[in-house]
Amino acid sequence: MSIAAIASEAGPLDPTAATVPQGSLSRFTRAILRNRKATAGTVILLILVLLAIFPGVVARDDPQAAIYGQNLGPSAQHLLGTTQLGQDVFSQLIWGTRLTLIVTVVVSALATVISMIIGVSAAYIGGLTDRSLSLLTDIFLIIPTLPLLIVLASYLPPGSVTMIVVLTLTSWAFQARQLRSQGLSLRSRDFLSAAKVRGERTSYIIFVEIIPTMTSLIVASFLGLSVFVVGFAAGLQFLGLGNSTELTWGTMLYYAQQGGALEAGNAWWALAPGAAVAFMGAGFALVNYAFDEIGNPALRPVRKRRARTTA
Amino acid sequence: MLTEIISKLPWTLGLVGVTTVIAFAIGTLVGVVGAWRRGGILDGILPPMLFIVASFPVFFVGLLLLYVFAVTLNWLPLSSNYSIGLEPSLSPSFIGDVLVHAVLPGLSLVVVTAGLWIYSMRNNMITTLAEDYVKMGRAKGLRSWRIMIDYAARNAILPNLTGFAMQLGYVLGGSILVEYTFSYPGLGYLFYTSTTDHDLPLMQALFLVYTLAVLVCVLLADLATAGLDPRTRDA
Repeated sequence: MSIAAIASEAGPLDPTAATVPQGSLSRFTRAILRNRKATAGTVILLILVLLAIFPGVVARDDPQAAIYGQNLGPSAQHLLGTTQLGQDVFSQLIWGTRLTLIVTVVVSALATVISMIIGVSAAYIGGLTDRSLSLLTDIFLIIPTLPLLIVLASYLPPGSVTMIVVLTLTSWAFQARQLRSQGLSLRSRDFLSAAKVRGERTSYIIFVEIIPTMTSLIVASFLGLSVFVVGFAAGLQFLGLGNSTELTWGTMLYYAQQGGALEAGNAWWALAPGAAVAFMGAGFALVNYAFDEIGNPALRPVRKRRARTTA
Repeated sequence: MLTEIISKLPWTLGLVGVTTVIAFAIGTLVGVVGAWRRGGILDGILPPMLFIVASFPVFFVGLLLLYVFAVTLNWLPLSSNYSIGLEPSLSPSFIGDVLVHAVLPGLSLVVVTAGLWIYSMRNNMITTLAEDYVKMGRAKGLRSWRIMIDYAARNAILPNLTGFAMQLGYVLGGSILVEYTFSYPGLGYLFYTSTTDHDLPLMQALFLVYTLAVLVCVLLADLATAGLDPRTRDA
């Protein structure tokens, strides 16, 4: 797969570098600025982060207060109209950004960490550990995600914590498999043998020697996961499996569907949160797509017509 | 419970089966041709566009289509699988009615999944086109469609077939949301009602059905891979 190809230009081999050093960070910034898709995606994500931190600057109305006319159309006072209960839709949308973004980022980060630990341990330790961890990965990979999510979410008390736990448990497997195959290709490298001869612990080798060399693949995993998590979280809440007192785009969609927003001629109530979910997903997808192109030059756009043999 | 599941099964099977085949066919074709003609419309514009659409949640696409074609234009029905009052039969009018009701849910699923197929097929194809046997085919002076289909595409499709089974779980999940959005009375809608009724046995039974469906498809994909790739037959 293409993502595996990124790893060929994997990050620094310096064992003390747990984080990305300064030099490659500025290289990373330059790569983003030079790629239009990456720029667009980064701008989208920055806007969303700013809205999540300072929602009050853009939307002054109380998002939960049902004090306006019911099912109003868009107007200067209510940019996207009001809900069936008389809440301001625009204000709900802006204030809903925070929890939606937090759930997405936390789940993607946790799932990436789990997939990293399981995938790399399986690859490096090998033997029975590898076989059992790979079996576990394969089982989670084959179970259809959304049905499992629905079953788990309806057993547990609804809320963001449940959402985070359930989504994390169900989404790490694909990335674990990719990190495992990348780990396998590193297994016989000299710097790992050197660390072993030095007498380092296995956990030290995994976390300090192997994982830093996979930085770009891990970032790609995080981005790929985020695209799916945004949609899955909103989908679960849309089905009514979230906590309906929490304000997220998914619960807005749930109330809009229950309130028959489309049929009542109040289309913005349902379409706006859907579009917002799509917007966030597109932001992550654009950065992810660009990341593939930056890592694998063969995938970059070709401008000349007769350039087919260059691949 | 079993009769309930069996009576809903054909609707979901039809919807998901047909849309998956359509999306896979479109995605594979566009991916193959796009990678073959780098820099054309099928390469530079359509794949990134559909890749972004693929990141859209399926219910948003569903709501959008519902709003445009059912609410505003009033061309297609809002919900359900066939018009109230019609007797299920094999008459052309009934089948036509079923198809008209399936257009919007089906379209939402195709739009969201086709992008993923294009993306992976295009990437596989670009890698395959750099192989020596493709160069060899050109050197032999074979016609270009023969190189494209028999040499490159046949090899590039193999990873996609494995991915096909993997993604089926994703498509099935999407079908639950689509059936809920369109109140389409298949297994997905039954799943939704089982959660609101807290009918845990029904929920578990449906979960089992979905898992079995994915396992069957993994088997079929493996058989298809064995058919296309002689190297895997003895293993």
